[in-house]
Amino acid sequence: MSVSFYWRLPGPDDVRNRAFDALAGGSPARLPAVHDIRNGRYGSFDHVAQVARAAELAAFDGIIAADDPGGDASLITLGALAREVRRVRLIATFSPGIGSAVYAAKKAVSFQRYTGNRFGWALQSAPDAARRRSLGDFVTDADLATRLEEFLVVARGVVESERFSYDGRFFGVLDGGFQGPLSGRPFPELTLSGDSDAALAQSARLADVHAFNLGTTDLAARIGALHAQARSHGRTVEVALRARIVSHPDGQRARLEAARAGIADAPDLITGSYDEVAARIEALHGLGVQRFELSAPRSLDEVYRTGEHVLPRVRRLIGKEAA
Amino acid sequence: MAIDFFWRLPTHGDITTVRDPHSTRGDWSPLRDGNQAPGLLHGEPDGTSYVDHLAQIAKAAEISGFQGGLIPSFPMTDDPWVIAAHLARETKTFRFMLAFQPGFVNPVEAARLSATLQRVSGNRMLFNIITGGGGPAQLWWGDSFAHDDRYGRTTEFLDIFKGVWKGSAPLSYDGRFYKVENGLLPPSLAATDLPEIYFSGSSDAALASASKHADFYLSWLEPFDQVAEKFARVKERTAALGRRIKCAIRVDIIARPTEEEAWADVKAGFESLGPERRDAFRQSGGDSVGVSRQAGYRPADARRYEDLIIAPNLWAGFSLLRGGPAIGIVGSYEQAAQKLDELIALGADGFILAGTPHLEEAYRIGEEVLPLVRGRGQAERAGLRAVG
Ligand SMILES: Cc1cc2nc3c(=O)[nH]c(=O)nc-3n(C[C@H](O)[C@H](O)[C@H](O)COP(=O)(O)O)c2cc1C
Repeated sequence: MSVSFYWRLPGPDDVRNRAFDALAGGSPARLPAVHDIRNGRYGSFDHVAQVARAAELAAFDGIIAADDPGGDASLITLGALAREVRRVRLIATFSPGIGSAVYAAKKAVSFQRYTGNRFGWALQSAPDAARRRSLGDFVTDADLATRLEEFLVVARGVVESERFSYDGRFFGVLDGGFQGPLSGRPFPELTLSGDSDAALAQSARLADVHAFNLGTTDLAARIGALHAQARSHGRTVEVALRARIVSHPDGQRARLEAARAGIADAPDLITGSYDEVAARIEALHGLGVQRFELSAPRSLDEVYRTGEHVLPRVRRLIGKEAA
Repeated sequence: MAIDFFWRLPTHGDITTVRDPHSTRGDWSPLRDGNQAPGLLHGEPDGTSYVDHLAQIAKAAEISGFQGGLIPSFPMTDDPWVIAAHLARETKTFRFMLAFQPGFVNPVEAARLSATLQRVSGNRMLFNIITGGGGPAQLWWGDSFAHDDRYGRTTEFLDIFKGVWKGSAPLSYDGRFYKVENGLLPPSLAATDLPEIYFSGSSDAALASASKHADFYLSWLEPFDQVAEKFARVKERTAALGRRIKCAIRVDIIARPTEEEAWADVKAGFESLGPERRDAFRQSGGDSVGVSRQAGYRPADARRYEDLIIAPNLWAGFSLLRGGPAIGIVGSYEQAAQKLDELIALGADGFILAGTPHLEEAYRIGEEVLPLVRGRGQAERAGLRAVG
């Protein structure tokens, strides 16, 4: 069973992102002895771009932009990064409440055209209805699943056929479908997430990838349930796991750093020496995790540490296991 | 006051010469002699794509004096948001004018996308707000609202878009088309500049919305007396709301060292079409007032290119040579500049220019025509008057 590694880009919860935003906002210089010529020229995107490039240089398979209402919009971030990273896959997280499904699909097709089909979608809406309403999305909890499904039917319909009509509760289109060079592009790889039975059932029918969070109770059983349901639809779904990672040559130092970041006891944390972290990842892989979606409180440092020290160890361990 | 000049990014291929509209750059036509289809080298994928050509045009435009460019959006084009995001870090000063129909993204999400683009580009995005031409194309997009409802939706969209961006408190809004409860951009996004708003649409419903929200009212070129009348109407309606609005014109130019050369290129283009001339602009079953104002010239019925000369240096056959409106400017560099000065004298504060092919013509117009434009005040002192 193969394994792949994706890096989740830093957002507004990242210390360095916040510092760069303050710099861009022209906040007073914090370098009393330094002749500072940056003049607001840099912002957090410059940091994010370095992290993305680091993920590419350190042999990750893809990068993921989150949909954080306190931060940047993933579709723009990834568009701007697409010219700076040339190999890694680009996964945009957003909500089907964003607007027209045809319009979202059109963006996806332009992404596929410009990136050599490296583009994917991770669809999710804010679980909290009040949060959704603050984003202009008044869908009820009960309708979330139907809306997601209609969004996918329409988006897939216009991408995969040149003449497509649909008349649903949330989305409709008449004689739609992309033509000419916009036709024939692969539909974006689709990641869905969630831990509920309903979420698994939906992924079993619709998703290419289902993402769990590390810390999910009885992960192995949930993975088994997902595969069983997917099989009943004649499908397979890849299992991804979202985790935060803090590694260090010295395991004590890793744990100290995690404590400083305030996540020492977080259920989604993998921390320790390179060997410890690699062993943990290999064990999770043994439970059926095929893709790791990692992030870190110090994103740039950790993406290098993980890429340079942890991933080679994991690959060696998995190679042994396979042999 | 200085005039705002923009160029245009062609979003579904770029014809390489007005003399032969069948030769294009881009993968909208097959690779053959005279065509360049990015993405293929000797028929094999080479890692480039059409956005590499657009990057070339954007750089040419910013280098040669244009503020930026309009990025049109139609069913067969690539998407303007994706284009702008891809080019944001490869350009220095180019401002991205996204053609956008407000119905297609909910306003809070659109504000998040826009503010992120402002952050990535250093405040270089702006809008051409369009509201769609109705008919089958509107349904293709999945939008079944009627003409005036679409403009009502555009107005609500802009109310919310501005409210969640620059409001001092979270916005709650309960409209016919959109609702929001306690919406506000996070500080890092809200700190960016609200995009300038160019606004297109010729109907009464369009003017009602534009007068409330637009910074620039944008029109295709029409006969000059009609332009003057249109600008006056827009300004009057906006003034009635206690606001001010500027006006801009979107027009194609064929400018050559001499007028003879310019018309010779028009003639060659017209005659290359053969008897199967088709007006690419006439839409079936749409409801656009602006489109029907342009379609009145029936360029497809003309027998000779001269039949379409509606005034000195104005030709109404551009929609035969490429998708887009009918009327454009043809002439020597001096004549082209003089036409622009006449429009400035009529109240134009900005232009979106285009020429075929977009890359080389960005340099040509920037180098040969823009320096000859005298601009406000000077044009008036020189006694330039608009003639129909
Ligand atoms: C300068 C200009 C640019 C336009 N660009 C676009 C475009 O990129 N995509 C589009 O679908 N419609 C475009 N339109 C058309 C408008 O969507 C719309 O059909 C037209 O303005 C109809 O409004 P009206 O009935 O008020 O005239 C454009 C119109 C103008 C004047």
